[in-house]
Amino acid sequence: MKVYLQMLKFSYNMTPKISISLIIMMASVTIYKLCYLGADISLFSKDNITIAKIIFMELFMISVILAYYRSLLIISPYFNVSILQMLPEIRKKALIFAGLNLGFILIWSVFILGYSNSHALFSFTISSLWLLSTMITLSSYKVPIYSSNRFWVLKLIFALLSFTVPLLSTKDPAKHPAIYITIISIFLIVVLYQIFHFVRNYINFRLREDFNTKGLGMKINSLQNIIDRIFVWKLNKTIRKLKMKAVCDRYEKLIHFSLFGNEFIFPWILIGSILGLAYVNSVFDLRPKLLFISAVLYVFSFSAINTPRIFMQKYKIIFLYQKTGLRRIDFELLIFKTAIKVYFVRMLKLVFPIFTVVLIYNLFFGTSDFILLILIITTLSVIQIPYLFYFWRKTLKNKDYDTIKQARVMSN
Amino acid sequence: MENNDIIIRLDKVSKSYGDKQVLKNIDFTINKGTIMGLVGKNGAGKTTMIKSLLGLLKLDSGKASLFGEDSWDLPGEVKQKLGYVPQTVNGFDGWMTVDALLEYTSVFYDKWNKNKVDQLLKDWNIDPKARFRSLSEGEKQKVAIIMAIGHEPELYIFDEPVASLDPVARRDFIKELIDLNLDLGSTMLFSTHITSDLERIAADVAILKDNELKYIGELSTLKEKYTEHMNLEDIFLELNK
Repeated sequence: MKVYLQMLKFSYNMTPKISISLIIMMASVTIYKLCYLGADISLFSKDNITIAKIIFMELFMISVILAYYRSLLIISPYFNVSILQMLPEIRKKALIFAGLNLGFILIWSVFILGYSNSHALFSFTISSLWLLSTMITLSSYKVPIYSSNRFWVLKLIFALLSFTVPLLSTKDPAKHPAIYITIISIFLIVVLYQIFHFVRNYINFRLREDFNTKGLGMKINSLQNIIDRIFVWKLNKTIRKLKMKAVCDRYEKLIHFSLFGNEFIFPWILIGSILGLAYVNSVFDLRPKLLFISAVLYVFSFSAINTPRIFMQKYKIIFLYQKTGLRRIDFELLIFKTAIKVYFVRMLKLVFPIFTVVLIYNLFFGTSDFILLILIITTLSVIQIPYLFYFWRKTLKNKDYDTIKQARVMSN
Repeated sequence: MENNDIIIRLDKVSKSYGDKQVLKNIDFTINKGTIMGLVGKNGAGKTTMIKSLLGLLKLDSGKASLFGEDSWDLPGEVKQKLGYVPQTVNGFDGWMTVDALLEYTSVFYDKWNKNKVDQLLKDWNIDPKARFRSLSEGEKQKVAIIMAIGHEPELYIFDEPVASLDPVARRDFIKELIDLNLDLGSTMLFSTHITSDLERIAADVAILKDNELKYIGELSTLKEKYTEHMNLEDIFLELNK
């Protein structure tokens, strides 16, 4: 018991912000459900859809994803950190602890989804298993799910069914129920088998010396190399352009590149998010207008969390301050100016894919309100300017750069 | 009137972190062309002193200046004349290759000695196509040193630059510093715990103890104060008894 309490403390210290955000989100979703919906009504019931309800539905989904991610973070140091690996049976204990965390999230999710809403519970279980298995595949690749290539058929089945099963699980099998049940069953067996393998490998596996040159490690590294090469190509292209300018005219672009990274990946994340929300819409039959409102809210909340953290990239700020031939005030102003500019360019990039999706949606499925969307996007964009200004003043303006708290930022 | 030969000046500088005083009334100058070694125990305030000089930390009192300009608000021309290597190399994107990182750094400056940079990469056995994330700590330190040398600054500030280097790399690095000092008359301030390196390179030495500067001056003068068999390490240990 003492070990698990220590793990609880350690896991909190390791991920304080994630843990606090999770507690706040879970508490607010619970309070909303208890005070405004009632204990016996599902948060995902189709009646009385309001914007508040959509926000809490999103908070619920983010909480679940974050909780799964946190569970993987909890077990990672016991695999990667050599000093922790030496503790007897620690990996088994770490898995039990992560399992307890997941179990707690599962009980809470059942409460939020409603005990009587069996369809939502079934769909949630399938989606959760799929999400967990995908997260294991993507984020903990150093612990291979399968220790041999003999399992390629299972990998293929998982990859193929990943695109269809979570979607299938949300609908009643109107036709061919036998095929429906077979597909779902195969998927469940594969996913459970993957999780079983992962657990076994996590407990017994020692990272091989040749991990980076053989098997899965090599494949991951090749993919990483391709992405790295694209980034380097973009950087070299930027440098070539900059060399044609006078040194003092290069700083803005250099600050942009250093702090915000290669942004070409952003629209793809955005389109992925919107498609994800379109999927949620198809699952829960929301009104189409609300789908797009929630898409915009989702992207803005992501931007609101991420963008101010740009000012908290301590080491890059120190590097840039050393290298740019600018006085402190001019340097700080240029960072703020760049942040505002990048922010608006991002918003413009946001508008195009959203409108495209709305257009397609209106053409084939239903109607959505362009004017309302424009209004929401404009309002949220304007609101974020003072918000950014506040963070810039608090973090950077006339501050000790050396005491800035280094933050992780979603850039390349 | 400011003496033009003074490159670095600290004037009654004090700095605390909360209740803990790290620097107390530090007076310190370095003249043009000097190589000054900075020694002190862990937590003596070497890094704080260097960061105060660079304007990365706000002083509680006193004044720090580089090339006669207030460190807190250094003009661009002064920063162009400055090369700094921090204690730990952080903040560079792991996907960058060494040559891409150096090219990227070069864009910040009016002049960049590419031949020198390429030569150092070759001499120090660094693969220009290697990704930054794949380098060892020592190799990262070498790249950081090359990044500081590329624009041939007039003043170098190194914060424990050799901590991660092997003996061969350390010797090469020191040789490089001596060449830069002799060829270009560069001024250097570097902190280290490896006193034998200082004896090889530094003409002047500053010793920090208990948040104060216990000694600043020529290394030879310091040695004269003690018995002839004592090296800098012995003297440092004696001073810290």
